Amino acid sequence: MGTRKRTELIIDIVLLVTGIGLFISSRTIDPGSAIGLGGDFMPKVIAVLWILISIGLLVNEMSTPDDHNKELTASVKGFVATFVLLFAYIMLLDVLGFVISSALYMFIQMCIFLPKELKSKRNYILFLVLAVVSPVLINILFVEVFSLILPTGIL
Amino acid sequence: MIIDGIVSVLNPTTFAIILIGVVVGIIFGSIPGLTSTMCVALCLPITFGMSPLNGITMLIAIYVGGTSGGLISAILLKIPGTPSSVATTFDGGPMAEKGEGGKALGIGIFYSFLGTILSILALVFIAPPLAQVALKFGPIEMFSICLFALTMISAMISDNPFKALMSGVMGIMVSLFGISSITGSARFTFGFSELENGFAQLPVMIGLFAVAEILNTAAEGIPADGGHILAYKLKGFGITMVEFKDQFVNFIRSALIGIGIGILPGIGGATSNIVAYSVAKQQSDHPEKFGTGCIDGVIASETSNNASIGGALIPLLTLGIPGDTVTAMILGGLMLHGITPGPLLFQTSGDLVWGLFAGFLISTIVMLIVEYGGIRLFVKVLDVPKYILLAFVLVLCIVGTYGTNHAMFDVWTSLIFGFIGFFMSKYKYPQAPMILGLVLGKEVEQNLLRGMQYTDNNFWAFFTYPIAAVFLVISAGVIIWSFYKAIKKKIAKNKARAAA
Repeated sequence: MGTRKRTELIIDIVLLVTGIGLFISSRTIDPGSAIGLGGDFMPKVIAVLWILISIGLLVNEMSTPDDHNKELTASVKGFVATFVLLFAYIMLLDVLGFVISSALYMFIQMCIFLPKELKSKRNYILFLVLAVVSPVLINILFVEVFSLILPTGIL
Repeated sequence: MIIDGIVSVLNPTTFAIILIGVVVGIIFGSIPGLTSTMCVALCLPITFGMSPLNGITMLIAIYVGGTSGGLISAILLKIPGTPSSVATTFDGGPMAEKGEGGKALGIGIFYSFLGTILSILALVFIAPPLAQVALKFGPIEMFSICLFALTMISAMISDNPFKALMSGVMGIMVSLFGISSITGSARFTFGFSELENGFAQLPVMIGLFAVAEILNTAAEGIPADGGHILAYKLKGFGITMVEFKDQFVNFIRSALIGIGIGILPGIGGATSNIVAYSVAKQQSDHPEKFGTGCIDGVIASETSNNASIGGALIPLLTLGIPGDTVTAMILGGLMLHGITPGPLLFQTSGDLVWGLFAGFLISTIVMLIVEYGGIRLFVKVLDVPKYILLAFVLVLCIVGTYGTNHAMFDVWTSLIFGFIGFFMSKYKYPQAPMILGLVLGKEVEQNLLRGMQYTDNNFWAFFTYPIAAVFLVISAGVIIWSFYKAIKKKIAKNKARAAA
């Protein structure tokens, strides 16, 4: 089976299982109203629709011809690295505060994105400067000028 | 009275206030995650010290700038700056990729201007009767209209109808999370107290567009030239006379959709841009070109979202009922200055009302000038290599998602939906139905439940309300028609395959 078809099937199955899960969960909702429809009505209707459509997706994908192409069109490494980085960034926001965690995030993210051909000392120094200066400026602008609240962390 | 009102804004102070409001609005609008709603909230305290006219004019100027500013990032980065410019990304993005970024910006700005102007005309000339009609709308009418807007999902069906439907259903489901405002029942909270308020719309959209784009870029990799987009060229407003004539019907229709949706309470520019886009696609002679960078899509989206501004101000000024979140805050601003909007406002403070109309008009003109003057500056953004730009934009998105409610949960929401959005775009699940479901799901539900309480649990009684009946019949018609079209297409495809 080709990569595309396999992934599509996995997505369809995940959707179906999620739909069933949501339906089970919707059955535990307290209607909360004596007259008219309760708060459980729409969630149940939508969960049933969800299940029906995901079955449709699954059947449709099964009848679609397979291209048997096993090559990956995307870099799994880049995706996972960025996802983990974003996860760590959000985790650290409360601990280190907006400025420090954003600086760390920006620097590492730019390094992940940087194409191999452009790797040079000059670029890394540029990244370092940008990663420090931008969060500081954003912080000054929004916290001082617009009195927005951003996570301060240990600072 | 009219002349007194207009003269009252013709002074340097008011002009300066308008200019500042528009520019700050554009900045907030163009940065993904920061919206005009947030900008109005942040600037509200500043306006207390001003005269009522200057204060409220500043808020309107921010509203105008913020709604239009969203098109800049929607076109240049394919990330909508505000929820009102989601549909602008569908064709504006591809136009920029083709090297027509300048033209897309020019057209977007021009039609933002025209859409606002048309809504000002509606506000000035037909506000009272329009507001009277809108006042007759109860939950049953609102339910039918929102349901009808939802059926516009059918216009966004591409080759796989199930994917568009799934996307729509996912959007509605997400909107239902949290405690029901009608019955108080907790839904899908899974023991997390943060989920009791459900998912906030803004972080979900930031996730689906901005975070998903970052993940997508990480998976695709950036080419060695830094991911530069082609050079742009722009002549005049970016639109030719022939194109303007061709697009006239699209423009008027989108403006009317924008004004109409703006008037209705609870829904505004975030809904109207997608509805106008879908209708334009459905009515077009060349629907297959939508999504590949045709100007029709940009025009529909940008006309309607700005037309919703004037629409939302109609019930605010005539009845004292805000049409969306921004006008709710403007209402607060009016009250603090001791002004109660309503039917009597035009008689008691007529010069103020006319002053506001004039301020609104001047804001729109200032927006046009500032944005045109800024185009060269905006497209400079494209000279920044993608690896720097995206990292910077994500940090701004964090400011927006956290800054709105100061809740870490909102930031996590954007990551979760970024993950979902990545797979959606990779496997060609259209995002527009999900956004439509997200903004309309709760409206449909709340009005259905209220309506059923009205009619003693008898759904068929909905058809005894004329306006509701019309929309319900049209909705049913749209659903049946799209099923018929989908089946016909499938049969034709199978025949073609059998013949081959």
